Amino acid sequence: MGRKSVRNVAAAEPENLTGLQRQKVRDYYETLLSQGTGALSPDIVAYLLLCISMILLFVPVQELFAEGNDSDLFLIVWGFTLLFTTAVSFYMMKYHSVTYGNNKSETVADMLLYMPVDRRENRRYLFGVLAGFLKKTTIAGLIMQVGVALIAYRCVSIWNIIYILVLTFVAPLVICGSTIVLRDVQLRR
Amino acid sequence: MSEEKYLLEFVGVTGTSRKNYKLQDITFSLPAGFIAGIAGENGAGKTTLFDYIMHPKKQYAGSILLNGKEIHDDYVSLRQQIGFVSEKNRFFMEKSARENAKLAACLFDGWDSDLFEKTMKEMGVSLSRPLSKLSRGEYMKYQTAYAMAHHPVLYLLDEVTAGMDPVFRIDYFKLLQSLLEEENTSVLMISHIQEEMDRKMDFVGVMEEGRLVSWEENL
Repeated sequence: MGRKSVRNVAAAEPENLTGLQRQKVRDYYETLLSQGTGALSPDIVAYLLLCISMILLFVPVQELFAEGNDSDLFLIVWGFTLLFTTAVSFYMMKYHSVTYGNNKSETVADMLLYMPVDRRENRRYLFGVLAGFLKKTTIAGLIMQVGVALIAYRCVSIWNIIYILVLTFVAPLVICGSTIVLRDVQLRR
Repeated sequence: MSEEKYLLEFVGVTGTSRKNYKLQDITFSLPAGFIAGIAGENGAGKTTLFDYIMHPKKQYAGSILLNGKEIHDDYVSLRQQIGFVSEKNRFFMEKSARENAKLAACLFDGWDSDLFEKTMKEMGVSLSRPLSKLSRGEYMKYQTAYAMAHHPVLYLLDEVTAGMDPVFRIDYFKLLQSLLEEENTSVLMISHIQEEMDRKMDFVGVMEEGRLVSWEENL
């Protein structure tokens, strides 16, 4: 009967129970967003930063990876990648930050601490929202990048695709995704 | 496992976290249909005891059993069976009771909105005012209605009656008594009020410095 500090994970849930949990989490967030989270809408800031960071799409990728290029271009690309990631973070803020009495800010994960919620499903839902948003921006980015490459160089290289996938999908997914996990880990006591 | 069936059992529970205040070798059993009180000085570990039940990531050795099942092995479904009333509970304070209840309905199986609204009206607490505008007593009444609405088998009440007037306190215990009788639930309650401990509780536990120094039936 004894129990160690590191908790044994319960036996795998039946699929329908997992589906039910997923549905509950989705309903919870939809209800929460329909009521408003009480924080200033971060969407406006997110879209504004997103527009500015679209400069990324006009970087001449062929020159970026050409031999003997100016290294400043890498810094500019990195800067705008961070700006893009910041825009994504602002977009995700409505799922993280809620006003909790006396203008204190809490995360939704904090609010769910004592609730009958599978934390894995909560994380999975947030990752789903994040990946969904990034998928849209990446597809738009790919179309723009290919279009720009065709107009400027009359050819598309594999670097055009890799460039967009890494900077507007993989990098923000890793950076913003790690904050989702970190917020959850912070609850460990 | 003990032969007699208990609703809640603590078996040699000792905190293993290095950071936080720890419980030490807590053992007691609470049968269904009874009300138990935990007393002790501030900092004795009473609220921490509740935290060991409620916090999904609490680290400890020993066992906390609800209806014979280890509580944290399937926290989500067992959490459905616990009604938690405490200052530590988290609600959207800028939202109304009704809005908070709507959110709870997404997560609790068998959430009874009618029962929630009926209990709130009976206790005279506004459904539409933001929770931050409620007095402490009203807030605790709201939390009690919230806990009742998902039909738990165990209520954990952390100094609930502290902000209530004496007349309502009597009604509150009548409400608890009816829950014990009609729904065969149990109540584990933290209180500093000696009269409550002497007259209302079936079992009384006393805590000191993270230890449960006594757990006795109140005759």
